Amino acid sequence: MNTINFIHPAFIFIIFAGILAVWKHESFKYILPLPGILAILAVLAMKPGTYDVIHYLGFKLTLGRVDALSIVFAHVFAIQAIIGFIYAFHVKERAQHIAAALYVAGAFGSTFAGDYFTLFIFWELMAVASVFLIWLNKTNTKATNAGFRYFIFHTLGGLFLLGGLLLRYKTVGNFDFVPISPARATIYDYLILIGFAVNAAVVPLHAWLPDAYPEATITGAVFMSAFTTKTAVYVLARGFAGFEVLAIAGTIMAIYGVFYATIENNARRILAYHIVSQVGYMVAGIGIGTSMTLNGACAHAYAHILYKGLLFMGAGSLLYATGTAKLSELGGLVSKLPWVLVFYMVGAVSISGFPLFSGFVSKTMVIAGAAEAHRTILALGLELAAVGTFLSVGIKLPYFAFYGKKEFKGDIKPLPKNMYVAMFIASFLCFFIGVYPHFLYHLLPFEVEYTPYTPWHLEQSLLLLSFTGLGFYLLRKKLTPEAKINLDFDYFYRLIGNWFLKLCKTPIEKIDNWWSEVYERAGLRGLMGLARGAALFDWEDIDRAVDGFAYNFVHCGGSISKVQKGDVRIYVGISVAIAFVIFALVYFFRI
Amino acid sequence: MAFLRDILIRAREKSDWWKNFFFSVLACLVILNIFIRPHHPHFEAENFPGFWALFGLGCTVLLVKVAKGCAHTFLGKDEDFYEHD
Repeated sequence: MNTINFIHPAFIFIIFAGILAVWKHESFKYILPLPGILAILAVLAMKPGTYDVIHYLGFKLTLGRVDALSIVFAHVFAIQAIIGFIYAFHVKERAQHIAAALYVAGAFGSTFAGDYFTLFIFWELMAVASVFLIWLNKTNTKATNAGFRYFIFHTLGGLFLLGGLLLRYKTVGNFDFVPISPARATIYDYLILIGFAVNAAVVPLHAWLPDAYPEATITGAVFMSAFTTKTAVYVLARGFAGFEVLAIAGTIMAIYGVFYATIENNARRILAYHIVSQVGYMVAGIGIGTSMTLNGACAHAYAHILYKGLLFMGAGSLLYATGTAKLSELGGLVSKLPWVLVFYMVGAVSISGFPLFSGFVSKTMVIAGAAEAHRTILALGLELAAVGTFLSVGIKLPYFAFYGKKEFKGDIKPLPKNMYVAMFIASFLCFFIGVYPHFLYHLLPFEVEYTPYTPWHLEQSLLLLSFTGLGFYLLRKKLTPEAKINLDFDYFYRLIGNWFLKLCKTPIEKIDNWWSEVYERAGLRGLMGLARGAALFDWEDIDRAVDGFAYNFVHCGGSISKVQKGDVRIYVGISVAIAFVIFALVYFFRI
Repeated sequence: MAFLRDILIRAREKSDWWKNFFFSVLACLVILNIFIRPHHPHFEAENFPGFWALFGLGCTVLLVKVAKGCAHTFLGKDEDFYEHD
């Protein structure tokens, strides 16, 4: 156990969150990029191996499993944490930074977890911390409800995971998180798979994502776009490579996401649907399960985190400057926010897979891998999704926000410089990976036998994308955004939720009525009798003693009432804080 | 920052030039496709010059028609649809 080679990045972020909690002076902002920088140094210094093994309650927990697969994800998580915190540099509310730091810590913890138990702890930390990135968007009236829906759905996903890992423990006798052979997978493996699929936003379990992300804080959405789904991609790649169901589900996701993005009006929701779509490529790559598609999935996750963060930063900048992210209200911003357009377009051509940008060297690897594994229909489905990606993110969104017939007439709030800096760094990386793919390829878990820059690959991509452009040109009037929302599977979630609520309410209401009656008839009379007896006693002795205590009780009651307001958000926060303290104690004393 | 704004605004004014440029690029790419062929075609149609051009255009039209059709018939709702309940 050589801990010198391994400093767990999750603990860097947890300690950072702790420091932020007590650092009240506004100078805290200068240390915001620090944990990311420390994390990337820690990742670069890592050697493959197993670290931080602790024994807890008779279980062996592995906090630090380091191998090629975990390093590639940790690498990009660290970079995105730096970019994300630079983008959030101007945010004065420390709670947002603390939530973001704990969220990133959860992602790192899940990435290095060697067993399901550790994974589950960090998985839930990620879910809870990210809810606060939604709730803390106080200017948005829809954020509270969206946060609750997000939280409930992730709790549900977490329960599937928990059910699966407990059943598995009962049968197998350990929590080891190891690859599962598709031929031998049984009920508990599939339960775990469902738990992972919720976070990977696999259709039809995806609707939490486009529901919640557009309601998050501007800076919170940048973090969220990177970590939840990509951690899920990592655990799927780790455990479920070669599962046919993922190959098909991934291709469906890729097309489903662009389908909705084509008709969506809110810029951040368009991007959220594109997460579903892009994660679809990764899930399909994992499902096909050859070394080329697995490499492609990891490469695409790496590239995706950077360009999707960049796109969310661009859309967030629009929202910050204009106060709205609805395309139907925007237009003509090219003269007002020209640099946002440039940075956004770097993200847009990256996601679309234009040569010289990051998407081109990763997305084509998945598609070529699918074709080489003789999965022609899947490969064509992914090409269709590529067309839709360029159509909606590459042309429709920037066209209607920055050009278009309509002019945005409202005030433009100037953007803080740090936002531009963050977008510049992300743009640079998207371009750098595009022109120097070896930087990314040497991180991948398998040997890379793929050359992105061949005349045919260039010709094919340019043909596909430019004729998509022609399609937009011909149909641009049809694509004008409309001030509408589109029904998705969350319609059914809500239906089930309401139905469940009614089911619970009816018996509870009956029992409550019945109990009130019993209480009134029997209980109250008994109590009155008792009270009379007590009053006699009270008059004699107790008065003096109680008076002294009363002040203290009033004071104490005030603090308790703060906790007991029935505000679930506070409960959630407190329970996590307590769980955290317990876990920290265990970690430090039992290691 | 002003120089970028000027460039972009000037570019916007020359929309006809851009239109011609764009159509010439499309034509060039299709002509190039006669000479640049897939190194290992994954299916028959890929050998046909212009296949990916047709695929791109066809998919765009299909996607827009189907998605917009669904949005106009049953998916699209007023923005406060869920607040009604």
